[in-house]
Amino acid sequence: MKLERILYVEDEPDIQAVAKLALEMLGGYAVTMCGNGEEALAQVEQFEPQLILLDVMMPGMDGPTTLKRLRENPDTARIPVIFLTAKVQPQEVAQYQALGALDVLAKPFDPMTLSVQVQQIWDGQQGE
Amino acid sequence: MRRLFRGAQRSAWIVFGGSLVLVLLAMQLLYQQVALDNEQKFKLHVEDVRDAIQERLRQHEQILLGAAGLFEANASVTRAAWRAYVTRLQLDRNYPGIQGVGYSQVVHPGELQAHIRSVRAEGFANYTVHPPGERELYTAIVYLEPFRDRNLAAFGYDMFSQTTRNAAMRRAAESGETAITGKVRLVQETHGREQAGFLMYVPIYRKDMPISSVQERWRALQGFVYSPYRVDDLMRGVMGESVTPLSFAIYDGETENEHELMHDSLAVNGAPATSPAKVGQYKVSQQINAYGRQWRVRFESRPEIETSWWSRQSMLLATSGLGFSVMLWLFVALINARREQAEALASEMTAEIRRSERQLKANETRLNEAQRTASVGSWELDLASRQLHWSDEIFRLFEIDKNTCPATYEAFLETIHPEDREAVNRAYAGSLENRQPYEIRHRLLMKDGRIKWVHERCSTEFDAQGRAVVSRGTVQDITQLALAERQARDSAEFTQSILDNALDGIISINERGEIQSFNRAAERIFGYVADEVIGKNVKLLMPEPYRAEHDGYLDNYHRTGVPKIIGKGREVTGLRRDGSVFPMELAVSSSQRQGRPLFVGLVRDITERKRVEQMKVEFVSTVSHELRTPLTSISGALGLVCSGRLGELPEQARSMLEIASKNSLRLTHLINDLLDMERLVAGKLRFDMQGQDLMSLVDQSVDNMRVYAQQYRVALEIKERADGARVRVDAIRLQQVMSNLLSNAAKFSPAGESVTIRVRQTGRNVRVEVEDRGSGIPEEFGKRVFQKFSQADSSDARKKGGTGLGLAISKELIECMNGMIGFHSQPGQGASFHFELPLERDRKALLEFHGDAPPGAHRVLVVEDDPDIAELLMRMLTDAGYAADAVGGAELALKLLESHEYDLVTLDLMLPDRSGVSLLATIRARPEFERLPVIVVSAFVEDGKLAINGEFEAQDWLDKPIDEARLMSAVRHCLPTQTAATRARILHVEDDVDFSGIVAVMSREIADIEVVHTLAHARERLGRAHYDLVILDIGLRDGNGFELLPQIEALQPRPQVIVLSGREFQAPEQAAIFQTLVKSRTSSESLLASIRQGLKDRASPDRKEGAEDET
Repeated sequence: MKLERILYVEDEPDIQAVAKLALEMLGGYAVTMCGNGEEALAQVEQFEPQLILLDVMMPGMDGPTTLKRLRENPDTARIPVIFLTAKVQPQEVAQYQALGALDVLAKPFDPMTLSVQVQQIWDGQQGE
Repeated sequence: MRRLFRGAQRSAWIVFGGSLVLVLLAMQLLYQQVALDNEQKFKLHVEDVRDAIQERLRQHEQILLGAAGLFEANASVTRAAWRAYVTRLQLDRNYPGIQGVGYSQVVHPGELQAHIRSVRAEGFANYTVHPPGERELYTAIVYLEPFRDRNLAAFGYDMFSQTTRNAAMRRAAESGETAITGKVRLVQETHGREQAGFLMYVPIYRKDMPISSVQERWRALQGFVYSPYRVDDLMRGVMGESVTPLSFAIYDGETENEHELMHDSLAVNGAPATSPAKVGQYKVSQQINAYGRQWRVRFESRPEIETSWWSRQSMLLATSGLGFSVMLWLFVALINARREQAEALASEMTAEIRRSERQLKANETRLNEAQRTASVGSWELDLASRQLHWSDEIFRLFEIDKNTCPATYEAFLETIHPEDREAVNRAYAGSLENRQPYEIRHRLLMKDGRIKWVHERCSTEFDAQGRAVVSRGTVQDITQLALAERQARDSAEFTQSILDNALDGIISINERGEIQSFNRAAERIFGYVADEVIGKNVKLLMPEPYRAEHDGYLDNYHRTGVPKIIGKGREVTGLRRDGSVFPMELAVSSSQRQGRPLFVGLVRDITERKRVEQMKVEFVSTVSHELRTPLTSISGALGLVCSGRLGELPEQARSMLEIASKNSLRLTHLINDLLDMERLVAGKLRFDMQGQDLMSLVDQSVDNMRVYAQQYRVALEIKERADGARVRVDAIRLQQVMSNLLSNAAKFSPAGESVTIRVRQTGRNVRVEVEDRGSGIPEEFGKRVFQKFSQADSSDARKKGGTGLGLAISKELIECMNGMIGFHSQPGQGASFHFELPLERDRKALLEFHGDAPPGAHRVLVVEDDPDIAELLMRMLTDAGYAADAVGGAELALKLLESHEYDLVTLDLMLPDRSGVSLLATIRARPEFERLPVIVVSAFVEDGKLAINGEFEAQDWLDKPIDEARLMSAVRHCLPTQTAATRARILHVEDDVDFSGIVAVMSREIADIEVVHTLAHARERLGRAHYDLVILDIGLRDGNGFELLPQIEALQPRPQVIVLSGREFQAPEQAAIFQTLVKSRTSSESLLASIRQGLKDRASPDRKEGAEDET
């Protein structure tokens, strides 16, 4: 399946702008930005993304909590989630994966390669 | 001997008396017996004598009868025949006493002449019958032999003429019997001693005539044969040769008429006349019928003889009796004494026995009690008889009923816990074998399953052959002890395991610094084994200079009780065994062990930490620098591009670039903050402190932040201003603080709200407040507001931006600028951050003004524009007890002089508004100030003097820098009455308001008392004013009163200190405390007295100095 719709959850506006530009322009995805977990939960039903890029450190509901909530809802439970965080030590990656994340991307990210990375992860999980 | 005479010798005496009585009785008896005997003997003797007398008389009668026989036989008796008869008699030899034997012829009166002629015819020419006279009948002694001596006188004597003779002759004649006369005086008594005499007559009748009747006898009477006797002679030797035991006296007649005494044997025998003293014991008078006469013979025992011979016996009896009595007495006395002794001994012994018994009983009881108290029982086993004896306590201990179950070895074994029986048995057997006493601890198992622990000791006695005789032992209940021991052991093990497992080193030292304990961690840290260091001084773990300091710390603590390190975590350096040093964190607490102080130190090797810190610092520093460099390029480049100067940019490109630029700026800020923080912490930040107009700085900051705030759609409003307020700050840093506060306020304010800024003066400070209407700061976060990297919610920061260092930096900055920073927030109602800075003193302004001076104190005006010098002068003056005001400008000085009374002025010549010289001139010009003493204290003394040129006086001129002693002496010189008039000042440091109130009222009369309630306040007051006496409470709200002592000690002149406390305390030695009192023990009188004394002592040094001055 081709990846077309991505929901990006990030509280930092600057990063929102950069990421959105990078993904839309360079990846050609349709990207919806959410500033926090609640917004994301609200948007996800509407937008029906194929992939959710989820920032870990967020005010209010942080990334993992948002993921949990997503998993609780059968409609959204199976949408793959990629975490974005500065903490990318292998054991930390394993932890996030244990939570149910598909993968973890490092911050800061290179806007040029962000799309490629996302695509790779998408393709990888598609293959299964 | 004495004992013999003692006490109950009554019996002896009685016996003695009895014996004596007996003796006396015996003697009496004896006497009586003797008397009887004597009497008997006497009687016998009497009989003997009587018989003898009568015998003699008879013998003599026989002679006469013999002579009469002559006449009978012969027709006539011639003279010659008569002579022959008598001679043959040998009168002298055989018949003492008889004077002779004679014949008296009866002559009738008619025959008288014929008679005479016939006799004369015989040859006796002178013969006559005498006494002449006419008588009825005449007798004449015709024959008398021995015809010599006295007898011659009797020749021819007519005995019949004499009455007494006549009587006897008649009797004889009439009776025909022999008759004797009564007592006569013989005619023979012509010479010599006269004796009593008598005559014996035997009548002679004519043979052929009848003599049957008296008449016939008269007719027949021829004559008489007679003998005269001298009685004494007659009686002499009547008793024979032997000594007569009696004396007798013969009285003629029937009475013992002295006239009739014929013979007294005593007198005759030459013995002295019976003296009344020696009256004979026995007397008897008897009548002897002596031929018609009655002789009364009184017999008397002779006292000499009777005495001698019965006294000998009685003497014997007496002495022997006495002797016997004495012996008896002695005997009895001895017996008595012995008996008494024995009795005494017996009673003593009885008493002794009783006492012993009692004691024994008491001892027994005591033993029992002791055993019960100590829970020790004793037992004894007689090995020969296998008899086992248990003391009561054993029964109690073993919980065996004494009455039902006897003491047996089996019972003993049974009570022992089964697991221990073997051991006990073995121990006993072993002790018998080794002949050694043993002790063993074992358990007892009670019937209900309880276990008791006991300690048993036993020793055995052996006889000469080495056989065991008796075993004795004690059993002590040590259950409690055993439990306690176990607990103690457990506790110790627990403690030890804590110590062993603690990660930090735990070292304890005593008051001499000697190491008492050293746990495993300490071993690890220092590289020593505990045994190597225990007992040694802890200094060995420190390198210099700490080593030397440590002694100082300990010393100081001992002296003052104020610990220097204790309680505080300090970073020090430690010295390892291998000589290497390492950084160490040390926290010391004090404790006590067995009454001695014990210091416990927690040691942490912070080498790692330090390294990490160092690394961090270096890292921060390096990285910051490393980061800065590229950032400069980035932000620079971006800035250029964004400025538009390098050409138009497409929309998206521009927004991206702006984002980039903004964030690179953010990065720069962050790095700056980090660096600042690091430098602040290291103390490396430099401040350029200048006097600034605060409001202008605030305005600037606000203006600068407006644009930033606008981002958040927050307005900044200054609602209150303090124009003209000046502060000494580093302008840039102050603005940094302002930015921080403003940006925070803006960040946390909801959009559309405004942030309010207020600036106002509060006393000596100026306060800047920045208030927002955001969500406020939660309570639990309140404490951490000013900490590094702390933000209420870490994720919040990402949204709000900021480094998390802002407030921490601001706090440091403000504090470095002598201010304080704080906040106030109600959650949900926003937050208000504020800081206060001290106002810069207006040099021209009034620096200090004390208002009403205490009465009696001298007031000094210090005119000095340099605030530090002014402060110095003020301190000197107030310490010395003066009231001082300081003013920085001349005009103000004058105003003050006019409005208040000053006794002295110190004058700086360099004043901001006028020269001191001109001020002096002005002062002197005023008449009211003519006498006002002025001391010039200036750096330009010489110039000043020149300027004045002697025109007006200053009391003294003092150089700067100020010599305090010189100044004070000058002041005193100007104000000599200082000491006398001063009222003492007391500072009472006390947090108990009531008590301090009481003390204040009490001491009102003697001193001015100022009360402060906290240490901090006390410090301040001590720094600003002079006190003569400090009353110091120990327990204050914000610390220990002792902490003030160093400050007090440093004061010049030093006030006296009275330490008052609520409870007993140990004052640190050598602390200069005048007196220490305990509140509850000190009456108000004694407190007052102490205060008085303290003030008095305090005053004397001054007086001494004053005296010095005057000489």
